Amino acid sequence: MNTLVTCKELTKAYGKKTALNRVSLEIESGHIIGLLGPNGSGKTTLIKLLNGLLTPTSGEIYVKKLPVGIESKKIISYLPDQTYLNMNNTVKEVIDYFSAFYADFEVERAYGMLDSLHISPKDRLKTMSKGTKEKVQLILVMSRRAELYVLDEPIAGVDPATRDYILQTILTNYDPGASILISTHLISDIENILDQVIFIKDGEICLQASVDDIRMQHQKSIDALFREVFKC
Amino acid sequence: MLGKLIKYEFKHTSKTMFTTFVVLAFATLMGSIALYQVDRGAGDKGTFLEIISAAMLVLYFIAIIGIYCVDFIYLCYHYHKTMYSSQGYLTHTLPVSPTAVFNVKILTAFIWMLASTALSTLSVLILLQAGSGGEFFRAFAEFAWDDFTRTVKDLFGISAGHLIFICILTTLLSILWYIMWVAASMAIGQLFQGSRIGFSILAGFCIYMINQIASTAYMAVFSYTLNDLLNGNLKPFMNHVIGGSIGINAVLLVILYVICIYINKKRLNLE
Repeated sequence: MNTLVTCKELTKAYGKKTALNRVSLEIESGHIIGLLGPNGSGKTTLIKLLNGLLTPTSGEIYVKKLPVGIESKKIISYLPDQTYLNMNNTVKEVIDYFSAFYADFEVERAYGMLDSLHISPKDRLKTMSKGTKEKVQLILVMSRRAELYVLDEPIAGVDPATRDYILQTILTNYDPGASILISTHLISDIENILDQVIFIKDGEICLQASVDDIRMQHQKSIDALFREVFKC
Repeated sequence: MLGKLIKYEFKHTSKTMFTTFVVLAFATLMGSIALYQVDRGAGDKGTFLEIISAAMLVLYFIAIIGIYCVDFIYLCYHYHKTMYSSQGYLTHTLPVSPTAVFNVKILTAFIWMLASTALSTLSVLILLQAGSGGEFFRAFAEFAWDDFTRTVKDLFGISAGHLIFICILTTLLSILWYIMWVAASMAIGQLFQGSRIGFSILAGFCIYMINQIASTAYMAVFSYTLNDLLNGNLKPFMNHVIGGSIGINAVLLVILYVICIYINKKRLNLE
């Protein structure tokens, strides 16, 4: 197993509020990792730092031992928690765009997934429903042969059927040698696909362990443990 | 990658920009017809034609200024949307350097505004040609050019070619300055929490004030006053003030560029 991501004493503050406080962790290849925590716990901040959308206040973050930059962006496929595409574009135009910039983007795979969902490549994004837009974004992200997929709240705000499709797409389209980091607070929906979990609370990592170890040690599901740890 | 960035940046902005150019062409056509009618004396023959021609001319001037403003505002909006708004998530996760992204966006905006300036100038020239019954260019080449060169020499002490060169240089620098001014304001504004657009406007105001203070201080050093300008003492104006203004703008341009590059590389804050 190779170490994909290393965080050392990573801190991010927004003014007086500390969103991440001296976080140190390692993520290895070949795992599906759940980044779990309640709203405002620092999940999105950590993901944004990993993608170079924020700069740390202090500490270090490395992807395959390199600082976040061009090389890390080549191997990370990122799905943000919001719509980030040009809504005036057609699906085909967006696929062309991804294909032009990401060497690991597989056009045929993208069209195959669109076809299975009966989404026309000629459709403009602005004419689509929220759920369909999210599916298109996921198709774009999962059509890359990335080494690390970073999915920020991929199942939030969608209906259960779409949720199932999203999880199925994630599972059937990633390279087993790659890792997936999924941020969510909807634990029960994704618990079955996770290998590892990272619990994050008030900007600090309070648990990082494999799902099997947690079940063995605590005799509880991840969802039950989450409810216990984050009890209000 | 640079080529791809340029290609897609033009592609994403071309629809709106070409639409405004088509509107400009239409406004030029209408304005030319109106001025041609006035030149033929149609305006004297009937009140209706007179009013229509005058209204079309007024609309033309509103349109030409409006289109130029719309072009600039649209490019600023596009820059903000793709750098610091939702689409910034895609822009900043592309495997290209932040410097390349920034350079391409500035270059594209500069080329579009240059095209807009050139087309607006061409539009006015077409209008003059139409208004003079097709005589403007011939008359200017035969008679007015000699007067123009002589007047420039008398007033400014430089050749007409030199003046035209300064005008072109000033225009290019001004376009680039305004684009960089907006880009730097947005880059500084996004560093703050809360109302980033408000902070961007504040940053823009501060940069503008710095530019004005630097220009005024430079004029004070050369003891050039408004009275000199009003009294027609234009030789030192051309020799020192315009040259100094170009120099100040160029220096500030470089400073703003460095600020933008630094922020986009080291202090990006897509909260």
